[in-house]
Amino acid sequence: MTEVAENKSIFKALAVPFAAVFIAMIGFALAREFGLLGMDAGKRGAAAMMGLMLCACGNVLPKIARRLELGREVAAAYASADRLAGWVLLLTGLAWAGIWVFAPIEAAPIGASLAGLGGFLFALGVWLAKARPTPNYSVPAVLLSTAIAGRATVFMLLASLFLAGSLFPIDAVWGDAVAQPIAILFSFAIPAIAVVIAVWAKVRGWQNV
Amino acid sequence: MSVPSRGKQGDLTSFRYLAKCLSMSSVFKALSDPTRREVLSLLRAGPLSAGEISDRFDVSRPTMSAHFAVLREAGLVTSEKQGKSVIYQLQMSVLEDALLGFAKGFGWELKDQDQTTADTPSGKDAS
Repeated sequence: MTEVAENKSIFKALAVPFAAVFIAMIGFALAREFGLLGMDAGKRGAAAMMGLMLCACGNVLPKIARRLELGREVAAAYASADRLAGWVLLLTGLAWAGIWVFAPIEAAPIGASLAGLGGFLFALGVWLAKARPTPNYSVPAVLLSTAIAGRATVFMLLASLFLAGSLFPIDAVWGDAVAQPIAILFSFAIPAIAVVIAVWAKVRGWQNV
Repeated sequence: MSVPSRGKQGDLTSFRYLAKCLSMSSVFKALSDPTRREVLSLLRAGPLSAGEISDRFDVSRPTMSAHFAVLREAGLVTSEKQGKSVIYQLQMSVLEDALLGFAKGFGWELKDQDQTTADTPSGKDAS
């Protein structure tokens, strides 16, 4: 499969579940607005949808091809790390959604955030530990040197979900007064991260990021 | 919405119709064959050339090529030419990985006309 076809298939795999979840989130917001759902039920539904987005990212992660020009050893190490991290993120998304749906509303933000943070840290640990065949490979080089647009997209979505998810415990602990400015900060931070990645990729000469 | 008919093979069940709508039928077809499942298991360890994979099976090269084509069509593997050899690597999502586990665990076999036609030129079930 060519890289263009590869990227298209990744975007397609992400677009369908993300569009469905996005529509569902709007549905929850409207239902809450028109009084069809209570405040808590709307919040639970919207937060659970974020878990499903994380599931979609985790699901597609092992499907992103590894470049063979770096050698079969690197591709194998990478595939193994992606597979495990994908499982971790998918299960984390299910745990996040499950906690938001079934846990008491006072406990859900903290419980789901702990599960989410745990899953993200575990996935990061998996990449740091497994995504290099020998200790000689530097982790950022291995993580980013094989980046194609599909991989960069998934990582951006994961970063966005992480930042958006972290607003729930901030809101639960410090309230709206702190959560709102941080939410505004995040909305600038996420595109800024994208720009940094794009510039870094340009400087390093990666053509397809 | 009417469910499409399969003629002599009868109507699709709703589950299979849903799978077809979700473009999963090619994945189920690919996972329904023990040889193809074994190929996917081998590729878990890392990319392998077509020759390296074929050497581990007691089947002819053309048959292996047909298996590779089914796996490629389902999007479960990718192939890349390196010199004279074709290198295959695994490209399965987490859900496809889970399906492979179920298929291996429960020994799925697809028994419909498509499968028997693909596996045996005469169209008769070889088993």
